[in-house]
Amino acid sequence: MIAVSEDFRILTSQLIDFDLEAYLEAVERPLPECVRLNTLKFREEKVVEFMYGRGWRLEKLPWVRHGYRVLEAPISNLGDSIEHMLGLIYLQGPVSMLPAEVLDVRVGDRCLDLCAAPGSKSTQLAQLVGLEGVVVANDVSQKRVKALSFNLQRWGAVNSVVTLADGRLFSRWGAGLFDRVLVDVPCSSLGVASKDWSVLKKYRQNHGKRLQPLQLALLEAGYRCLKAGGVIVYSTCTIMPVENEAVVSRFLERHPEARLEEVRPEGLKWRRPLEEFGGERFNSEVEKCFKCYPYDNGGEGFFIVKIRGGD
Amino acid sequence: MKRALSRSEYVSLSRFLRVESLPPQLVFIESGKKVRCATRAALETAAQMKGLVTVGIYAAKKIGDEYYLSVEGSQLLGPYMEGGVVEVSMSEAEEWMRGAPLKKEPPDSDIAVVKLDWLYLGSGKVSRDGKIYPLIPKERMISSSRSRATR
Repeated sequence: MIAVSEDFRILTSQLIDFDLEAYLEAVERPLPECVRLNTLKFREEKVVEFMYGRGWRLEKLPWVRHGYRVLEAPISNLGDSIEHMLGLIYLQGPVSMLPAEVLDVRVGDRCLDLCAAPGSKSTQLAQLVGLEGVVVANDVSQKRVKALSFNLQRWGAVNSVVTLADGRLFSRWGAGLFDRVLVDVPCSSLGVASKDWSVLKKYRQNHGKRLQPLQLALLEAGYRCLKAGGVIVYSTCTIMPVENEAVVSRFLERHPEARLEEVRPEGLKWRRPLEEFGGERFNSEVEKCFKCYPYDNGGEGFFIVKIRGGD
Repeated sequence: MKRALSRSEYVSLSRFLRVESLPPQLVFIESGKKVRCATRAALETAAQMKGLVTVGIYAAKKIGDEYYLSVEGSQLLGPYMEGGVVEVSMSEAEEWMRGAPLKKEPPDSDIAVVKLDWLYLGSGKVSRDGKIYPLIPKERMISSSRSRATR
């Protein structure tokens, strides 16, 4: 039985669309094994053919280009496979591939991944922009930047730039430079508790409230880095409205020119974001966001919003 | 100190790799003993950033007059090479990726790039005993004790 804090029980009991029993059952299981194939270095058909020849069996994920669910593999630890070591594949959760996909990246775009480590989404952006584009992958942690650089190296991302900086300050030098910005913020990680159950035991009511100013500041900084008419995606892997709906709602209060676009991916179950929580009523535009709980798709819980900047 | 390779260094790298011409959209940058490779667009963007850590990928390391290609360097430049490439079977590739030396007819060079079908697996040092010793970092090697059972 997974231990959860009393605060977690109290807070989730206030989520009108949340089923705690289904949630705990879902996070007790490991995430389904999924991979993204590297089209920056290789042709996708070649990689698939190579992998099938080695005993892999894959099933395409409909909501993401180059993403597959692993049905069979020649070894039990996929991270120790030749395919992983040579950068043919990236092991990534199925819903975690969605934020970069939603960003509508075009070949040749200049993209910013503001909170990039360990680099899953940066590698995805690198393959989507192609050799004509650029991905700037930034993170604030020196330790995590090492993992980020390692993963971009393995991916062969010659089109990448790694920077170490506080994302909140990034617009001081990056304002108006990027076609696309991804802000996958630090969060309470309750949507990926299957990776680490301790987040449920440690969760306290003030966690989200403490994180919210940082999340909002990162979204603001990312927004300032957009070129006119560019697209920014804000995402979290948590279920708490204070880090999701509330952040977007407050952002929209400050930026009436920003336009939210609906996120409705094919093949993934999604649910309507909350209209209010904890006495706070959210901007009606928030309903365009994507939200799912871990038990909705047998994967991670995520919240994703796509915002088009004003001209 | 990071700087783009000079014309003569660029020619030296091309000659060493037996490459007629390196891909035009790529720039090679000296970074200590390492040679990094990036697109021109990435290099231009990097110049506008603060807190710069890396640009592009580590492609080769220069030791003396020789360039050892990283795994990614070999994947990037291998297709342009006109010599020094050794083809291996899947079982040889697995041993290579475990860090074991390769017992193959070595090329007439001190460095060999290893290739499995279309897939380049990095470079190795050709020893006097005729074996090719892989220059693959430990964190990129597959474990020698892993289970080979199909799940």
